[in-house]
Amino acid sequence: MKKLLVSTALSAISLFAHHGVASPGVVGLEGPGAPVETTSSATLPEGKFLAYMKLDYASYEKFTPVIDEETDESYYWMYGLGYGFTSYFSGYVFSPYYTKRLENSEETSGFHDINLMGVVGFKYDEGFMLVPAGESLDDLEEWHFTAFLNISLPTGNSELKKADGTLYDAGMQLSFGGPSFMAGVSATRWFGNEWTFVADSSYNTFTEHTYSDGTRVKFADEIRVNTALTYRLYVNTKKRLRIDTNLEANYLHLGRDEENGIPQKATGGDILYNTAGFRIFYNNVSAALGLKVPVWTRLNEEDLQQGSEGKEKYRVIFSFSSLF
Amino acid sequence: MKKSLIFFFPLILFGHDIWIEKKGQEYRLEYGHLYLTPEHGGKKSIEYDPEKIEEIVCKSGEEVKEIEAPRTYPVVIDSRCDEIFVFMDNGYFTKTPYGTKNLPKNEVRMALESWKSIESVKRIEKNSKEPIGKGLEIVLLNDVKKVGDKARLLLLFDGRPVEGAVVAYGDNPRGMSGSDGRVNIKIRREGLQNIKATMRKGCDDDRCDEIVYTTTLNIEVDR
Repeated sequence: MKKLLVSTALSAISLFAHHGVASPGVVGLEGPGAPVETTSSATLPEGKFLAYMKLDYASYEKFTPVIDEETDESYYWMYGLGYGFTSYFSGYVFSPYYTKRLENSEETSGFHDINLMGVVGFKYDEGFMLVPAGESLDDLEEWHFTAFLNISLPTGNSELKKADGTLYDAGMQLSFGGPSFMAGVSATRWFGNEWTFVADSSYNTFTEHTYSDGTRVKFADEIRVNTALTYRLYVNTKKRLRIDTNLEANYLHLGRDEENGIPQKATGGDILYNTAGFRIFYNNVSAALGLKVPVWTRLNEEDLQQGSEGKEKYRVIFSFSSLF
Repeated sequence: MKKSLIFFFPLILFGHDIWIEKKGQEYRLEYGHLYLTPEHGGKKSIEYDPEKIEEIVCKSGEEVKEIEAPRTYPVVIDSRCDEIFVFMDNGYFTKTPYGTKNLPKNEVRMALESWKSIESVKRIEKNSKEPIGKGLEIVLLNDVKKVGDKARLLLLFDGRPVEGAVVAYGDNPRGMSGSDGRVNIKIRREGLQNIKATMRKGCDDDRCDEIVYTTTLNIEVDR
């Protein structure tokens, strides 16, 4: 089974929700930076909304010269809305829209499963505490953390069929068919100057789903560990403009998918990506652009895993957010 | 004495400092630049108008008393105080194409922008962690012992927590008070600390566009 969709389907979930917030007020142009992929430990200001959009484009290596069913490219769009319920708790709803295209031009495209996420922010300042309102720049130099929980609901279509009436591979479907769950943590340290360090880790698990042809599939668990350094390149206070650059290391562990209770070949492994990118803050909006490439892989059956994570030629990530 | 040449412009707005210097058993009100800055060079006192002082409050032990404001420059207060609070009404300022006038906008021609400036400064020798003043006031909630400590502040307006007051360390804005009036500022240098806060309110008559409240907290940090 191709593991095209599964591991990327939620790859953004741990990452997209709470970075890219252009902080309002006096701290906006000086505070901590936010990477492209790694989740920063910022919560939304109380009573504020965040509108969010992200594109994760992946282009895959081909193993054969002929035009066949190899995975060609994927467009993972994500639209989201967040709200700061308190200074330390933010809630998000996300609606993914995916397009997955094979080399022979076959594709599936449409909205995937809706995600709901809650984020709790806390920090260490002479002891652990929930993030208070009205933090100063000096407060932002302390270690900040978040813990987040995410659930996806099977609102997408997991029964997409080919022209011949057979089901697409589970990885090409637009739903996991059942809920999935993710838990994670993040840590952020702004050094009070141009530099910010960010790290996060998350664990993702999926429920087994039985398709209409009777096949039972359980996608493999996923573990992510991301670290990032951001550097504030440019600030123009009058124009309320800030530009950051960042470099990230993104580790991903994939278990083996199971079909009818049997671990599947050509699934799973370990991948290390590097992401380099830029982020622009302007007033209350933020946009980020990054290039993500696999720099080290140890896939379980490397030669059989075309179209899976670790076999991308590259990924391009773009995000846009606005706080209001 | 030359009066009214220099006024207490809103501090954060114009980058001037107001502070209370301790000399022996006396406290002296100073205005100008407390620290070296690229724009202004080293420490520098500027003459001010003592008539602008409305009230001086001294807290000693549990006793809070008002002290009669001297009307000569420089203002010197010869009294033993754990905390001392000086409150000033600098009057109205109006920007015009011909410069800034110390007049309300309904008394000048071609007013561009106008405000009333209310200022205060508090020096703490022994911290009661309680308010003693009026208008905008900074209450220090902890004991700051050394450079690197955080001053945990409560911003009050007429004794009630105020949200959104901009707080600066020297001339650098560092944050805004939250809904509970709290904000923390890190101490970054030895000596007399210069922590300022400012907030604006709409003017309720035709003499100005807004009222600018600015207050300063002075504490000594030895190391």
